[in-house]
Amino acid sequence: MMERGESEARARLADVVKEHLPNTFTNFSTAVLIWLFGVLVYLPLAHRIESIEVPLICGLTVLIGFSVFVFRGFDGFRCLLDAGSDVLAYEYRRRRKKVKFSIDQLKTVTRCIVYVVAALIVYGLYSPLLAAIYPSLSGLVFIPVILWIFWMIFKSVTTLTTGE
Amino acid sequence: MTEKKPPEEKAVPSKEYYEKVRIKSREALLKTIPSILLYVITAVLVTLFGRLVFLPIAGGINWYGYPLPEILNFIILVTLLALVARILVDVRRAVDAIAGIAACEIGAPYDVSPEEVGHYKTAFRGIVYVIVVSLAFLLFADHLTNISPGLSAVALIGIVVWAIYQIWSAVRAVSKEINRYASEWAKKVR
Repeated sequence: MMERGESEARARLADVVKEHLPNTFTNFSTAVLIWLFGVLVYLPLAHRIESIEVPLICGLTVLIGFSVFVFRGFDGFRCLLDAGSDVLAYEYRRRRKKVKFSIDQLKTVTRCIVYVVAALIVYGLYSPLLAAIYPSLSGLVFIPVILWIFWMIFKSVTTLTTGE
Repeated sequence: MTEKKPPEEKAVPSKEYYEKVRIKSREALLKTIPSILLYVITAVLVTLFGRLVFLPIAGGINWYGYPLPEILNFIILVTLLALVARILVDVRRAVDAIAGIAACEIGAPYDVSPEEVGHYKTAFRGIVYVIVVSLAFLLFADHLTNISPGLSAVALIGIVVWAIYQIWSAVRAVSKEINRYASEWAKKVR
């Protein structure tokens, strides 16, 4: 039997899916296809022609194209992540009979986990494009990403221990 | 007196329509595949002979003051361009035929409209074009570099920009279908 909060969360997810999924999916699938062709086909080709300037220009072109579609789908993606993580929290609570955490705590934790996974995937996709522009650029971006992940973990742990 | 019109129903083609399209597509595919293979083999042979036989022989020879390898590169490039143009025409026919067969396989049991089939065809064609042009560039790259390294770089950058636009058009072609499937999925989530 579903509790009231869960059915509300599911209804919200359904609304978000109906409203945002088509646009997000269209933009993200375009971005993924650009990434696939760019990283697996055009960047190796550019390296074969010349080792510095051609990969730089190709990398920048692919990076701009990829980023445009990622940013266009970002708002919808964030709404989907939020609504999805709420449903996940209720699902976790329903499957585990005895849970000592409140639903708000679980919501915060699942949201943090989902955000960290999404950020790691997005960073993984950006990494080869940034490395094509300048090898250390990829590492330079990774440092703030790691710091942000630590902050998210800290936030989750604080929520679970203090209940705030 | 004005009579209220009944709501327009989506026209669903008959089974015969799907059967006819299937037979036509199969015939078209059987015609185009040998032709594509023939032109691809020719293009590969032209590249191999050019790169491994003619260009090494022509090394250091001048023809009326012009370096012979550059002239040979240009001739090979023009030949390859003609062959790739012919391959693209056949690929277009083959893609349409494959899309027709796929549409019949999906459409006959599930009543997919010809409009939807057209969208899939456009998307599929776009992606196949990007793959074919990228493959063709692999053949051209070395010859272009031999003529001028800048030429090869400019061509590659042009292809990258064109590919991004083509991918965007391909995905946009099926956006209506994505919208419909998302609505159906939303009903299941609720």
